[in-house]
Amino acid sequence: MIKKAILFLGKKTASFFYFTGGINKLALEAFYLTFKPPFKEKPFIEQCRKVGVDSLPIVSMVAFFIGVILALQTAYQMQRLGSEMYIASIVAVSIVRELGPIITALVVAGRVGAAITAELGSMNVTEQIDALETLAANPVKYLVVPRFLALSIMLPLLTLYADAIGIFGGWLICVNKLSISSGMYTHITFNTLLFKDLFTGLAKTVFFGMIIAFVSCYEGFNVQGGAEGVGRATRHSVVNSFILIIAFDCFFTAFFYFIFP
Amino acid sequence: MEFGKTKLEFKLGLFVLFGIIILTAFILLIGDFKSLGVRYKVNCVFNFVNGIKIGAPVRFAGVDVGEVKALDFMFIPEENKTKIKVGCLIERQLKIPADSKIWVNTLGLLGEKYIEIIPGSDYANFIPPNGSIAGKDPVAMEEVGEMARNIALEFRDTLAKIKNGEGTIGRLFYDDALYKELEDLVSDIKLHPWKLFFKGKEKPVSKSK
Amino acid sequence: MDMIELRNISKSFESHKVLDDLTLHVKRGSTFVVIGRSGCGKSVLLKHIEGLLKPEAGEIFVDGKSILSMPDADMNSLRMKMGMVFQGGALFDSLTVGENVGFSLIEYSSLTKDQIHGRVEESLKLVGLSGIQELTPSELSGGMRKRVALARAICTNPDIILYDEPTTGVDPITADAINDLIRGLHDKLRVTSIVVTHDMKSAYKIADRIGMLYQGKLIAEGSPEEIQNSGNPFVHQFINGLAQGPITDDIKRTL
Repeated sequence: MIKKAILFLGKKTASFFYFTGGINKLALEAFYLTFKPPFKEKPFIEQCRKVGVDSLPIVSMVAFFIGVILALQTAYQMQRLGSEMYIASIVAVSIVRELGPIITALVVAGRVGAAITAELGSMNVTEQIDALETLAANPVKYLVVPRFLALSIMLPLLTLYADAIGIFGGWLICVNKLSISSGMYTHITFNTLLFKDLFTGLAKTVFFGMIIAFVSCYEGFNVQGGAEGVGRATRHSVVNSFILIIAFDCFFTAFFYFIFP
Repeated sequence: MEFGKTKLEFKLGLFVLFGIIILTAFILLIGDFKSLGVRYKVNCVFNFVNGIKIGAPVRFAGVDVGEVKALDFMFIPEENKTKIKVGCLIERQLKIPADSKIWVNTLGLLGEKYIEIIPGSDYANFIPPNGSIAGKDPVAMEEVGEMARNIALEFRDTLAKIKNGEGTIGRLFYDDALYKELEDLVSDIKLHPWKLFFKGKEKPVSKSK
Repeated sequence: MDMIELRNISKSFESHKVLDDLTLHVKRGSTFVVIGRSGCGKSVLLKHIEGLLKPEAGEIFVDGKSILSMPDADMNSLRMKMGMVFQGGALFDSLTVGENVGFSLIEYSSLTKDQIHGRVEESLKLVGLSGIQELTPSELSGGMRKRVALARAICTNPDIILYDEPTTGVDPITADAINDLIRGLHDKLRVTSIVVTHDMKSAYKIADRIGMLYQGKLIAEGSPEEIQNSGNPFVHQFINGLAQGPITDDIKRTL
């Protein structure tokens, strides 16, 4: 029993090291190959559309609801203290610094990351990745690099949309339901926000994009055993992306808190 | 290979363009309220600033007109004293009379510190850009405490004197003679109320001789 | 001189030994057919020659050069001279048939669009298909996919072609057409081929030499006649497709 538990733990630890090692190797290779010719625009543009344009409706929707929820929840607390003026600043700072980036990253991880793993997984199962190699095309260069670039460039852009729409959601509630004037809301919002808030929020998302790209590609490359394997890899991809995104977010928040107070 | 021909590229272009517009809007809106406005600098010299911070607002007649940008120490040889120079950025169009009163005030329940400027009346002279003005020192909490202690001590001494029957009030409180005389007077008046109507017939007791 | 040479190759997947000290020589311009039961490591053997898998022990020489210690750039130029036909076709779903066939040319060559188009057309004609460049692989039948994969492999005019079960899962007429094609490439272009199959009719038709893979080793090797008349009981059972024999006895023993 105890022996079994120790063996189990050992196996899990080992698989964790394999995972981190594999992700890092993939990341290094992708970085290296990004700057190595030939450069192909078509797959990159295709991935940009999948990550950016196609994710916009769902990211907007989620961001809007988060803005509305945040305004209402803050109002509940602030009305007791009689300081509704602070709702605008709390909504703005929470969305721009934290909720915009993390919501966008999680939505994209669930939507695009899962799709990437499923796609690469099926390619792996049907030997298409082997075929790429036999045709002298590096699978990392051909498949990972465009996805990684698209994700790390499109995610900050999507976050900007999410920020704007989230603030708009808060504005809608405050102006229509909490009788705060529109001018007052925008004034407080942009008076409270600092460049630091905007840029730390956006900088994080570049890393989130990389996490999603590398985790989903890694899981896709490591699919074993047909359709069931693809399903399992997709699940792992989403779960691992979520965990890593939130862990890194915690790290970045602490980092920015102590480095740029 | 052709570019800029497909619907895909059109959509992506639109997406990126709008993203950049949002970014620009954010930057301009944030910047508008922060640093892009034309401003000039005024140095306020204080002995004591009660924990004001860089970024604290500056208010002129109760209106936010700028913020604290710099905090420096300054040794003044004439007074042989180190003072604090608070650099404030003020909106360009605002003219501050040279005899304005400047001090560090505390805002609201959160206790945020800010620079309060109450305009003076000398509208012939203004503080020039990069000019200096001496600020009134805010009362430090320790001084307030000291003062309160002194008041309390004095009050205790007074109370002690009163208790001991010293001074007018002390005598009033603790000297029974006065009370007895008053009682006698009242009972006398009760017995002989007409006495009130006589005037000068009986010579006043106290003033006799 | 040997075009492909494998020396003492061993490979195992999680303690299951797939290739065990295997040695194989293929002469330039000849067709070597590897026969064996499903799952005995025939595809693994091909993937080693393409450099997709690395052996745990042994050496692999292609055209006189060891591919195990080869830099990536050299390996890629070597791969341009090799073509591989995968079992399921392995066509790229996201590309059209034309883009699939011309993949290497579009990616690496400096040919013009028209030249590439001509080469693609030519390759597709060779496998008996034409006018399907704009279709996607999902619109093709299994047999057509296999032929498109074959067209993709021959599009770059390779010196070596590796076939992974080229006739499995296609109708007998198409299978014979593929056999003719492999034979034709061998006769006209002096292409060196390794064909992995368990279709004995196909093997006799195309092979210069046949080798039988069993338990990670090449247990028999020879010309088609030699194999047909082999005294080896394992070979005898396999080529005659008998349910009773030493191979099935081995499985019963291990069970």
